[in-house]
Amino acid sequence: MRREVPIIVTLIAGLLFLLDYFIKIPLISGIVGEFETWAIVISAFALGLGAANLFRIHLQKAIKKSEGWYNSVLLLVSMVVMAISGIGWTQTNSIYSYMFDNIFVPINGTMFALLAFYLASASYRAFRVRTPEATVLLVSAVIVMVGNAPVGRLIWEGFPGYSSWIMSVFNSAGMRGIIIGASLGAIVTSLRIIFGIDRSYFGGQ
Amino acid sequence: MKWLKKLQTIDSKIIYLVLFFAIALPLIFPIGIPVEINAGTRTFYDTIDNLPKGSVILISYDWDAASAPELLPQATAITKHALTNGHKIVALGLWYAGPTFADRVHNAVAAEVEGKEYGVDFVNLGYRPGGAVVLNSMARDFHQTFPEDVNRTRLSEIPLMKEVKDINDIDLIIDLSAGDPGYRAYIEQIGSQYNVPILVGCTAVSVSGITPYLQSGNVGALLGGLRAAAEYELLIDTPGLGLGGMDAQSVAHLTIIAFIIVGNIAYIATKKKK
Amino acid sequence: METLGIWIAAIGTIAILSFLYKENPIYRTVEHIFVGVSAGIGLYWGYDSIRQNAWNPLFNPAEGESRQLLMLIPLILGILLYSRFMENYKWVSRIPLGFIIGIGSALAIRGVIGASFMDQIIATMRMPLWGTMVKFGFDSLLFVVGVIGTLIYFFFSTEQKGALKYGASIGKWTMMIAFGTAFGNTVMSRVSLLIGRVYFLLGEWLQII
Repeated sequence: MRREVPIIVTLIAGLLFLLDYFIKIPLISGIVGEFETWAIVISAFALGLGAANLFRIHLQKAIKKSEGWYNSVLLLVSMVVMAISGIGWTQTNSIYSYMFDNIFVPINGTMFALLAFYLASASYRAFRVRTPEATVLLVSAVIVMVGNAPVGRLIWEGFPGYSSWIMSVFNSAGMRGIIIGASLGAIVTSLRIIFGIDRSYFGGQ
Repeated sequence: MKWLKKLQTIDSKIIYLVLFFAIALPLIFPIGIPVEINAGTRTFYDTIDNLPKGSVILISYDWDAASAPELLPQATAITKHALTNGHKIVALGLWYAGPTFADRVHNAVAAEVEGKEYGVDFVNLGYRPGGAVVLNSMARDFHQTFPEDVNRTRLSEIPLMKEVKDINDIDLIIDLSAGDPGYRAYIEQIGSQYNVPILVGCTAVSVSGITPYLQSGNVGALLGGLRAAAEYELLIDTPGLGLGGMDAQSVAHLTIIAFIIVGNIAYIATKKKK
Repeated sequence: METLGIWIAAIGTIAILSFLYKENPIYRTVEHIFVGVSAGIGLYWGYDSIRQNAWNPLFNPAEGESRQLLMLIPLILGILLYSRFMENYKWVSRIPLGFIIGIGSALAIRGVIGASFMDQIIATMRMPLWGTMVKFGFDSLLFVVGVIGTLIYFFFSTEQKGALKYGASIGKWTMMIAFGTAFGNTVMSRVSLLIGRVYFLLGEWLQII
């Protein structure tokens, strides 16, 4: 029961959606349409799952006053304020907007901007011409970097042309090979999941 | 050659500082390096330009604050171009920060383009979780997938949405994508089933992965990163964040290339010695 | 209020940048606030989706629309997801999970077959090359050989020797160039993000731009 029910649910949902793609039967299309809305609702509940977990862990930390408890309190307060302001008065209300513009945007943006520094450091320390393969990688990276920046044309007229040539021939060819291969992998994995052969998503059972 | 060895073990913080100044100085003292418009950006612009007046464009905001410096200027330029040409915009997000950015863009552009009204010329449907399933559901029925807009007004009461029932009422899809769900979801779930052209605006990091779809015709045109935003700003003659950052982009790229070259010279020299 | 907001954003930005020097308590605090705000945004949209797509059609239908009793099922399934917090009933959460994973897998197959598999093969066979690089007449040949080589590289069913070995080698070199361009584009992306933040610090906050 514990194993069979989830597997049967997966099988029915998966097969119905596959069937609807290949053969258009009004009854099945109707069910699939309904299931799509159900899936959105369940995914919405899943969004709260992470927040619930976060809430549980940090509430415990705050109550037990374990190390860094004040950070947990701040996390809980900002979560609650953001959620309530949105739920109560939509994303257009002033508190939500204020926190979105002045906390969420700058911090999230800066976290990813940090990677520019690490990339620069890695370029200096690790991007070496150790092997012929690494040399090819390095040369194509440099041509694309120069070609993509407006200054490339000033240095040499040919840079943007060679950059777009590399992009449209070698990059497209390599990426297309990877996409076709990955697509085959995705089809096989999805079929294994639908037919209950792969159950790793249930937590390793 | 002690100094070559030293050069190899230079403190990371110096590299960080050099990069920071490579970006800050051109922002403070602009050089004015001319920006050339790429064929891809031109095709993107022409596609919107050639649409009959009053066409409905779906703009999907599939990104968050981490990609805002690249995609916000793109979104602003595209929205301004579309509204100026008399098109209607239906915005939504497959990422939960998307609809808030759509609001920011609409407010900024509506202030610049006269006579544009929310609900008539543009609408913001909000976010739904689920990625691919949202697209399939929306293609079938916008009103069932998004019963209300972000202001909690029922879609049946919004003038623009009275004309838009399913994906066949959309003339063009523009996906502003920073990852997954994003351009692949649109290409795979909408593009392969329905006859709606798809254009993609993406972060530079995604460009490599999209070019095969561009070559195969699944994507009509592509805007890649801040550079493309700058080119688009030139095309619509409205300098903004994109063009403002181009000098810094050039200097930063050259700086990183200089790092690669210096690092390798030191590496080769010390290796030969060994 | 606006000035205060800019200061808050500037402090947040500098606190995150301070991580470059070393991990510190201010960074940790700002990071926690960010995680809280993000989770709050997720909660809001999660609530709004449930309200619009399930709750209202079931309990509060619009004028002229009938009550959709079936919406009770996704509401119950959604709640069942939370049984994972109860040790004895953990397995129940696999039912709604199975439902969305079954649909997700089917949609993955549907999407991939057309656009990412068939269309890519057909486009390779047709080969009207994008771009205007007329001076390289052998572009199409390079392209097709590159795609086939990359596919051979990932073909592990038989030992790679003879023609397969050469094919895999071509695939490897093609991918090296592709990864190089990916690196170049990644640099471009990350630099753009940093430009955005420096632009904020120097422009909106310090107002020297």
